[in-house]
Amino acid sequence: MVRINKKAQIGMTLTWFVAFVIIFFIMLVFLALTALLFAEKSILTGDKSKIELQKNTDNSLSQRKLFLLLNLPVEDSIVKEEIIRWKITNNNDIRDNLVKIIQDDLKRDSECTIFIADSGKISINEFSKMDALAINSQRADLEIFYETQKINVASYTGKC
Amino acid sequence: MLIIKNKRGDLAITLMVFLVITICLASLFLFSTSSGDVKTKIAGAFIVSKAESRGDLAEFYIREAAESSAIKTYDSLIADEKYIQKPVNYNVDGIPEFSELSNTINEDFIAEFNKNFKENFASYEFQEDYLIGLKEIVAKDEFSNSFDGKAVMVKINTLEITSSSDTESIKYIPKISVKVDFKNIGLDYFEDIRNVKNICYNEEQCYNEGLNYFSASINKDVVSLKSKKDFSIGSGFKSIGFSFVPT
Repeated sequence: MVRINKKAQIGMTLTWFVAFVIIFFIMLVFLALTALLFAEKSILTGDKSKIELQKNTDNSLSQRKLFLLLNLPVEDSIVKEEIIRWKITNNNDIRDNLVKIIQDDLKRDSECTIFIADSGKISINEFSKMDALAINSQRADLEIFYETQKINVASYTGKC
Repeated sequence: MLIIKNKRGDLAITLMVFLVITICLASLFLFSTSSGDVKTKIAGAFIVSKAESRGDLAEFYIREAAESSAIKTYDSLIADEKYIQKPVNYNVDGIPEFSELSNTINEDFIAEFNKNFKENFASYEFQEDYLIGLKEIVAKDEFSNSFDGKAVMVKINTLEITSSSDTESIKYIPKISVKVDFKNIGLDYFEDIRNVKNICYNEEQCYNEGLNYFSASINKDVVSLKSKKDFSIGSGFKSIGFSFVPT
């Protein structure tokens, strides 16, 4: 006949009960602190966010669009060559043709672009949003060199 | 009172409680200090993209200089009659007779191209450090070029571009390789002109059908070819033209 040690069982149960209470309390503290830290990290919480996104100084979108525009075909030439021709001849017909070709291309884009050649705005596809676009997107610049002169070309491309 | 009196306890359970505390504290510590890595990764994405943009711009200027140098070289080879096998004979009006292409046309082309390319690039005015570095690379001949009769290749593998944010900086060495094919800039290959000449001799229509980028006219056995496209050479736009007597 096995003799049941009831006294020992009570002692053990009490020890486990105390351990359970302590561990349960630790878990609650852990959950509370995790929630607190998580709230600070969350981007969705707005002001509380501790993640700082560095300001985007990347102009690759504008630059890519600028390269594409400069290489658009114009009869047996391309836009880049026509800009040089326009600057050499000062022929406004060439400029008007360039404006038309560039605007036709920009109309197909989901993004907005301002295209500037030699300090004169050649073409933009969203006149009303021009200022906002210029502020919110990075400018891409390059120079077209011909003989001893150069033409400054720039573009802003961003969401409309 | 029973709890207080139960001083014996159990070492294993006590240890387990301490382990739970340790794990919880360690987790909280790692969680609270992991934000630095996230910030770094986000900043890093921008500087890589910025470096690539700079590499693309450097390639654009190399292509610009290579294209205009190739056109200028093509024009000067024609003007100096270097495309014709020596010795060059002339008719009574001083028009050269064109029988065969020069054996050294590729070498002559690349030597002239090299000179024009360096001159062109030296005239470019840059403000950015990496583009000034690119100019020095070209001036010091630290580039390779080749010509196969159809296209000229320019390669630069030593340009160093640095891009940095507040916390990080990277060095990017792009492999710039630019190929300028005559057909892409609106000129026929010398070899094609020779082949068409051998077939057409002095049939105007035949030349006009055989050549893609030149229009031909024939007057008293003299073939005159004029490029359909105008090029920016010298102070303005002009077509490339030359005359020869097919033999």
